[in-house]
Amino acid sequence: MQANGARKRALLTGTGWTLAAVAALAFFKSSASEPIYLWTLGVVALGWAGVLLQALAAGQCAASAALVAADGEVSAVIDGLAQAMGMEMRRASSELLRVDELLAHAIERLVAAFNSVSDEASRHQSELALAAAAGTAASERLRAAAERVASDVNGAVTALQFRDVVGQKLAHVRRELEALEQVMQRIREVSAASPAAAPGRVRVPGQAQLAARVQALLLELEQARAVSPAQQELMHAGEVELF
Amino acid sequence: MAKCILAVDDSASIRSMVSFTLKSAGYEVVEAVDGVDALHKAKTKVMNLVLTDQNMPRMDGLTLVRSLRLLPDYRTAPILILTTESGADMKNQGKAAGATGWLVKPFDPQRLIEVVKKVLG
Repeated sequence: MQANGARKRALLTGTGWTLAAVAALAFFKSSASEPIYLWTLGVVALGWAGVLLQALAAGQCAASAALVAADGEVSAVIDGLAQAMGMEMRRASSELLRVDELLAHAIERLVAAFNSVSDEASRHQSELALAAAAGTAASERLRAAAERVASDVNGAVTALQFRDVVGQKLAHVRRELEALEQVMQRIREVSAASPAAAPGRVRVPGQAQLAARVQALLLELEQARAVSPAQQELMHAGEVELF
Repeated sequence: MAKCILAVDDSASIRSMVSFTLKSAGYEVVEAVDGVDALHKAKTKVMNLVLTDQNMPRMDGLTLVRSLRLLPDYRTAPILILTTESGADMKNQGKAAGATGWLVKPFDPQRLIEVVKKVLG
């Protein structure tokens, strides 16, 4: 809008200049000799050159103002986006913490129940062994039942360890979310520190610097992702290695 | 007399499962919540075997192994690491620290008892 107004003004000035020169030519034509034409043409050309320079300067100012405005808008969008994402990540992290607490509570009750059942089973184990030793059909059934119980207990002991594995995975996800939140915060800081954010200053595009900063932030994120102690996909017993 | 095993883990459920498994095999079990607690208990009473987690607050498993290996009573005592970590790099660090073996969670009770019997001789 500003550029259009400047161009119109320049056009009017140029037209006025030309008309004035033509009027002067008409006035001097009767009384002056031949070189007055050249003088008049020179004056008109000089006037138009001035007009063109004025128009160019007005265009440049308008472009700079538009660049600053656009950059300010981009910064505001980045800031808003980073803020919203940071808030979502805090919320997700807090939900994960709650899941972890619920899991801990559930597993505590499960372990207590398991201990109670296994204590009861071990109290009757000697009686079962005596009955099984009798060699009757009933004792065979008891022996088979005792073996099944022992196998189930083993399975329960393995499965009940999921709290630790899941807890570590949850902690890892929370660490990643916290790292992402920090990255968002850094993006906001970078955006706020950009030259366009300073009033009255024209932004000098520093793509290499910005790319380096983004690369550094991505590296931070990668490092947070790399620290994942629990790799288990299923609750199968893990490997054993003696050195 | 039953052999005494120090079970170190910051997770109460894991301590409970390790304790249950080893006691059912006839061992005496002392529990510790982290490396610092374990080191204190190991100095108070000489254990026949130490079974420790790696990732714990205050002092991790590898630091505990290194600290125990400096004590005369634990220079040759078997120390097993029971952890969720299964990377070769961590295992190598465990070996370099002086650990006797590396067990990945979740453990199978029967397999754990077999390994404990083997390293205790």
